[in-house]
Amino acid sequence: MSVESKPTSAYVTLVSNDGYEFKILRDAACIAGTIKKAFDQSSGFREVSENRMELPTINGVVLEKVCEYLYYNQKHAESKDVPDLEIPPELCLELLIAADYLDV
Amino acid sequence: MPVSSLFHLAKTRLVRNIHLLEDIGDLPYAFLAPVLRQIQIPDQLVQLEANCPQIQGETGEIWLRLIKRDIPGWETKAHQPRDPKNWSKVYKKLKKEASAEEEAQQEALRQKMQALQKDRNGHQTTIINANLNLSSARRSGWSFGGGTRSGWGDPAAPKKTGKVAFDKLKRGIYDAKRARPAASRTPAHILNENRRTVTQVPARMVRMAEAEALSQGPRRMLVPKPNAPSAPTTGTPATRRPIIRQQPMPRVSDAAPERAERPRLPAGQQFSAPRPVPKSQPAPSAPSLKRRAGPNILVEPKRRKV
Repeated sequence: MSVESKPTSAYVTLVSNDGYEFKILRDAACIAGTIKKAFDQSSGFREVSENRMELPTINGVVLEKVCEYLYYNQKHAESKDVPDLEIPPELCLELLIAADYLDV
Repeated sequence: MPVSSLFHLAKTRLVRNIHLLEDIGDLPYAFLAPVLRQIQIPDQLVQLEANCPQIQGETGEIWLRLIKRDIPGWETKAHQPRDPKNWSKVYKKLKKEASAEEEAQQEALRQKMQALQKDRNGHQTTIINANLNLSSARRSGWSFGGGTRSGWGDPAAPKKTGKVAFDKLKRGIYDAKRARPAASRTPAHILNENRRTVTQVPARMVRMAEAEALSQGPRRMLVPKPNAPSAPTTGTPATRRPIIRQQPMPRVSDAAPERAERPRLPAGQQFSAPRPVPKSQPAPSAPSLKRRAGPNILVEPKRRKV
């Protein structure tokens, strides 16, 4: 737990409900609408001061996939032909819910 | 944006593996409607309704499509159930009737064919083996003719030899080549004319388009149900649910157009979805050892600094 406030770091931490922490690039994380709003400087949420967002509705496996997607999205933002992101079928429903929540 | 949204990716993937879907937890029907509309197996839908009672009564459109697909002449039969929860029973009943009808028609056809066959057998000419008393008179003729095929006249060579057949075959090949010359020697515009075109739309594309049209139609408001009947069926005890400390963000309507039109989960409620497990392979209980157990005798072990 990092309690001291860091003004703006390049990385943010996403925490799943089972305690896994994912440190990912702020630019990538802000592709997701909900995360972007949470880290909005003017909002004054606790997330802004701690650079850390807890996602109590998403478990570690799904959050890992979400992070993979965020980087995948960032990497292929300008490319034309994009290879498909590999999604295991058993994760689809949970990913749908997570995508709905995170607005990606 | 060249990358489609995670929501879209997951949805596409789910539609592709729609046959694995047997349980959707406590998700509302409106959220998963574009996916559920792709269900092709009636038994799967029955199972889904049994597992997730919250979608009972809302699956009418899927059942109607399945009835349209599977029941010939469905328009003439009563198919609208009084209670929208009974669509599966209607389907089962109609399917039973349809298969009984088909059975009866097959039986009728079989009877008719048998009658025809019988009739034909009665009228057939029968060949009687009648080589009686003629043998001695003809035998001299056979030896006289010299040919192998005919008994009388024509002592010359038989008409059909291998050469004739072979010439005919060669001629046939030549004609075929004349009729359809190789692609390399044909002008491009003729090749384009001869190219086959797709005359029928693939069934899957028709389904996708129908689903698209349905989702474009009048949209229903998402009304969160006051008490979703989920607790006893999904089996997730309430104590295991994480405590939500912050309120969900208010939805902004001026999001990207693609995001705005997709179905939304009602805000302020939490849903859980089970993971469909492929039945063929049981979940691995222990992580498989990738490394070889014993040391490789060809590789010298690394020396450690002491």
